[in-house]
Amino acid sequence: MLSSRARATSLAALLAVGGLGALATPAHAAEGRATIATGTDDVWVGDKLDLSGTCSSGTTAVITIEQEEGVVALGSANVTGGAFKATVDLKKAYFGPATASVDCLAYGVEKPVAHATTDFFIDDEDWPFEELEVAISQQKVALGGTLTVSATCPEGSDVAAILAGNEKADEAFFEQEVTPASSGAVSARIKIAATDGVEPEVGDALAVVVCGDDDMPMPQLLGDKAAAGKLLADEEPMTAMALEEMFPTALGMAEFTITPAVAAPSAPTAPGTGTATAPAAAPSSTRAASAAPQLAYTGSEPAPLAAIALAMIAAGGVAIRRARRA
Amino acid sequence: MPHPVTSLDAPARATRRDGLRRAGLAALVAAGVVVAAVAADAAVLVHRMPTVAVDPSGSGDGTAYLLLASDSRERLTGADRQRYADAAQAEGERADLVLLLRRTAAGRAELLSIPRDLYVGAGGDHPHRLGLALEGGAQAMVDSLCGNLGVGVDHVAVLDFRGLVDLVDAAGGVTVKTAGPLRDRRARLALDSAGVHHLDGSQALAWVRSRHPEVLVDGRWRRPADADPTRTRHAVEVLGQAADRLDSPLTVQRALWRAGPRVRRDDGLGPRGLAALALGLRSALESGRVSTVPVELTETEVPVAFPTSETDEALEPFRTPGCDGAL
Repeated sequence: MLSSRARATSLAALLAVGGLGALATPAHAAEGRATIATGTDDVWVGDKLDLSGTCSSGTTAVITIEQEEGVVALGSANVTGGAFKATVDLKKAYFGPATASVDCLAYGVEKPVAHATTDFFIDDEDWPFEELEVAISQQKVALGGTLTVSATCPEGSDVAAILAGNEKADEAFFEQEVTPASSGAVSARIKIAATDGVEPEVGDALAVVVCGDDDMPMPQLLGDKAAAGKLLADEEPMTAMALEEMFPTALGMAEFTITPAVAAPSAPTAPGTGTATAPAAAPSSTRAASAAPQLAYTGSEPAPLAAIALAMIAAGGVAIRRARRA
Repeated sequence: MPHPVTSLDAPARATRRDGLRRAGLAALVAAGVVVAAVAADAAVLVHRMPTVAVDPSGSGDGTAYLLLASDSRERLTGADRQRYADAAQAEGERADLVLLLRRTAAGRAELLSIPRDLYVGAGGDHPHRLGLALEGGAQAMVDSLCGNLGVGVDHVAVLDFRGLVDLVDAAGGVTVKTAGPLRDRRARLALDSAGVHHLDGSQALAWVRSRHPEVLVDGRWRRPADADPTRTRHAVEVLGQAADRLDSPLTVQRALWRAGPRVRRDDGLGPRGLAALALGLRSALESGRVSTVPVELTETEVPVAFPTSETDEALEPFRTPGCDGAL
């Protein structure tokens, strides 16, 4: 179990780098005159969540709480003076991002007369994963250089995945499945170079290590292959593969910075081999700072690698809940 | 040599045979006329029922009929239009009752009542209360049942307010029992004493539509503990009694003649289908194979029925492979 501080930090990091916004994003009305807001930023699985907002007078506010798996809570409230206050029970909710929406219903009218949504995050006291301490060989690495990532998976883990990517990228430029040693140790040398068309960029990056147990594949844990299939289909193939093949039991990450490539006076480092060994390719920040960018990088679509990790956590949360229910 | 008497009997026998033949022929013609008359009457009765264009979703095994009680004020005339006037629902139509009758291939009939306020499509682009989908027409109801609940149907019949009134009147009224004086101002229902009440068609309609009844107990109007805001219990009570009392071809003919123009049917629902529907409805009501989909009804100004895990269970036997809707 993580300390609350570690968890908060980890979560905040995930959210921040994942581009998922703050814990509760501002409410906005999609149409009509409706607003909705959560009563608190600290929303927990199993709690009652207070919401408030506005709807047209004479309507009834119907609240829907939705997560990736679908609707997890419904509630309703009368609208008095154009405002409503409602409470919904989050007993069916699970760890992860959520959306609260209000539909303002008039008595004899089929379609809601107004609608608004707000995003928030549902936390869980039972952190679904063990946190891994992820070590990296250096904090800064130049484009074309290498970085060693290592961690120790918990007992019982028989598979692990190591990924690396820019914080705001939706695809990793490095991914590798690793079999943990008997001690649980896993490591990989990461080449800061394009893989399968994904270009690393100068800037903040993450190395993520996920440990799992492939005896408990995600679909089996979810108990519903169709639901699992949908869940996985929504993710990038890499994540889908990781989720399909193992149940995450532990997760950790480390931040590092990618610096511009070092000018290479002699033969350049051969690209594309994830295990290239070139200690010199781990430059100091001074050297990196003084070097002009040499490698052509077009820049990938900005999107969150960490969202992948978050999705894994959320999916794991679902799985754990279901496993417990079963 | 033939016996003289015998020769005299032959013409008599021939005459008798001719008589029998004529009588048989007359009986046959009479039967034919009756059959033709019945067929013509049935055709006329069915023809009096307007049709609506519906592309049914289909239910697979057996036949599923969607029976709707419309609250359309626009389809009312004369005094009825004033009697049931409601500024909030003056235009369009919504389903006050949503009944699903399923006849299996083996002939077993079941009736399922789905609360009209069942909230469907939550989290999607089109959240709504099921019965209000009738605003978009019978096809929209069929589509919502299939797309939101996973239930397919083969035929649709929509009964107007007046249709229920006429049906009950044709059946000679229905009998209900109350524990005390009962009223429901919104439904325009007022029964002044406790005990058994014989209701005519208009009173029966008010009885069925009543969602907020109050009973006078110890000088105070109170909401009865067994009130059914889904309207199902009263609807089944009234329909069951009406079906019981329509026990002869004459009463059936009279009821269909009066109520027919107030019943809209899908264009694929002909005389045979209507007969099967009537028989199935009667069978389900008589055998007690009637159930209501459990929901969690809110106490809000606009009532909303939220689905529960029991909602899913109740709908499961009616689900159709071709319809992928789920709560």
